[in-house]
Amino acid sequence: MNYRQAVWRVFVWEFKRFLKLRELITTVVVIIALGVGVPFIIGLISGDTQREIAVVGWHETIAPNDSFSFEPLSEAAAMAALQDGSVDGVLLFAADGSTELTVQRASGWNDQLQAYLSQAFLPARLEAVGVSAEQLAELTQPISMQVNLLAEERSVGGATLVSIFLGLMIFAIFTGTGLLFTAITGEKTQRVTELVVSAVPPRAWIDGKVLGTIAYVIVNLATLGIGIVLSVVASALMARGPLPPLPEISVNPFVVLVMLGLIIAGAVMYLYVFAAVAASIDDPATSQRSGIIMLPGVFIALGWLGLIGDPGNPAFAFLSYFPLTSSSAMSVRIILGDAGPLLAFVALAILVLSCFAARWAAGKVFSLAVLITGKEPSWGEMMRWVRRAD
Amino acid sequence: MTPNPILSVVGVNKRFSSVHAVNDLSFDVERGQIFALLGPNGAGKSTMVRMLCGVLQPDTGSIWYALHRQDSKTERVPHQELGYLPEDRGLYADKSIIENLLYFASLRGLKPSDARPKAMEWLERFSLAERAKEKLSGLSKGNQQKVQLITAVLHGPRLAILDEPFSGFDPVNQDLTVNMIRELSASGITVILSAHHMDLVETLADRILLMHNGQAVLSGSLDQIRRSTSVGQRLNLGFAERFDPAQLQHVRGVQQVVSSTADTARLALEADASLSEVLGSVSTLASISNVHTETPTLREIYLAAVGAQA
Repeated sequence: MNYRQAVWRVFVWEFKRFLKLRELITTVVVIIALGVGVPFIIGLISGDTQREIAVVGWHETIAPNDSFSFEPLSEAAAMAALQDGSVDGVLLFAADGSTELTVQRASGWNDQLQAYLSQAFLPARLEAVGVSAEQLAELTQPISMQVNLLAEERSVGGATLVSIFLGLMIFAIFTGTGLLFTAITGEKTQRVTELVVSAVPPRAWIDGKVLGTIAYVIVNLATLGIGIVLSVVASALMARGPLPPLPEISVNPFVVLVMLGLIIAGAVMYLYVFAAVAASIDDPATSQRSGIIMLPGVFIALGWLGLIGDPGNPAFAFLSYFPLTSSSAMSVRIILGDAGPLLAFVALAILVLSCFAARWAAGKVFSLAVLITGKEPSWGEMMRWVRRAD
Repeated sequence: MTPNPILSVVGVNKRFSSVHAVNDLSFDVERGQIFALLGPNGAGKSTMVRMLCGVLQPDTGSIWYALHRQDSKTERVPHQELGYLPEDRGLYADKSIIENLLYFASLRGLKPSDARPKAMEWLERFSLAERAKEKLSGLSKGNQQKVQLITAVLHGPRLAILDEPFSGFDPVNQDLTVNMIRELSASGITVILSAHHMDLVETLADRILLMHNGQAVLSGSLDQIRRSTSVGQRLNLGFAERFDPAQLQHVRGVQQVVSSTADTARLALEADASLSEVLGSVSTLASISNVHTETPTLREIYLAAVGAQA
């Protein structure tokens, strides 16, 4: 059996080890249930039904809509109706022009009613101060300002795409590093490591593990995607309405390829580093190193800074080449049109080289650390292992 | 050195910080032999075993494998040809017995389709076939140990390296393991085992290496070891009347009075002592009612050898 076969067999085991068909199906079902159920529950909670309002001192301006229906009543009859629950509130228009609402308890629709009344009485109020509706529209127009760009406009989707991309990446890396961490520390605890290392080279083991974990994460992402699509379709079917339109994002193939490269290389690099760190942990319950699992999320989230500030400033430009942050930061620059093909390729090349370096260093640490039980090697010790010749 | 070794260990050293775990150790293992590394805890057996399996690398020295032919010897660990039972037992507790067996067989190069019927045969033999799909965590420690043992030999290795194969087993399963090792050997598989159960090893091993503080104390077949040591025969005597055994200490050829009662004594004889001379001398001191001789056990030889070193 050669090296590639050994990697393949570990890969298959690691992939199958985490993959549980029943859990994937459950995930899809839960997403559909959430997609359909949550809007329904929100509707119930927020009172997405028409409210019956008794009006004392009827005013011609108000008219029923989807949210409210109005019934003119005397004050005594209105209060009695409120008491017995046949109306949701009593709206009183006083002679001095003030308005009162009486309800059993405060609710979200009270503000909606206020907003509705403000809108309904606006023309009359404008007329009272001598302003026409056209004049008001003119006054509320923003100042016209044209933005002239010296650089070519290259934006390909904006914040929506960035958010989707970074969200997926954080999900993928958290899932992957979490699984790898649990798997390796579990294998050390169960004393499986020695038996595996006696059968295959440690480097083949770590390679197979990383590949198996990535494959599992991809399946997880696909399951999530399928769940979301089915949830949208199910919501539309339940509401007997049309499917919502897809967001308008124009993505060219280059962007897709580079971003795919960045996300895969970024994930691979993090997984190798985590495999080495996990191998050095003796007891995950007490080790200080367990907290390190949060770090990739912090680094990847730095990519969002490009959305808040200027993605072209020197600090963010540095982050877009720095291997720990480049996968997210460079993607943001690409999507926001701040980086062209050459810069994206440079960042990808640096990240891929870093991946190989991480694999090489992690392999050395993993080979030794995975067999040590009873104590944790220090960071200095692990650095010495990395520097030591093969 | 043996003429046709399947494995040659040449001047191997291994240190862990200040501990010299294996100290300039050399030995050969012949094809088809049952070779035992014996010694107490900390003697360096497991470290040596781990080096034989490629789990650890020697600091200096070399290990040569010639699993197919003597002229094709190599320092590269032949992972697929080795079967290994580690001292630190461990399998995937959350996976089934059969999944564990098939995975480890696949890591040794055996396809799952070939491994499955063999695994079932082994499980049948260890009365575990009906539980093949159960999670390993549901088995008793002894049964987990059996699965671990099957893992070591399922792929049909040429060399099986078993570290403490008897520990964790009750006497019945120890016998089962002894028989299994004999069968492996009979089928042409070379077995290296490390153990401190000297009574079991004594009946099993073709060749023995006694270790102490990382070094070889004695090596060879049991007969060779017996001949090469100063530990002589054990002589059990019964006396017709009460007798002070302290007088026996001064008899020529008696090394030590191992134990005694008012009318019995167990004597350790010097290696070159003449039995008839000793009996002649003792009969002048007391009336002997019965005589029984024993060869020294491996344990006695080991203790004598280690005592001499200490």
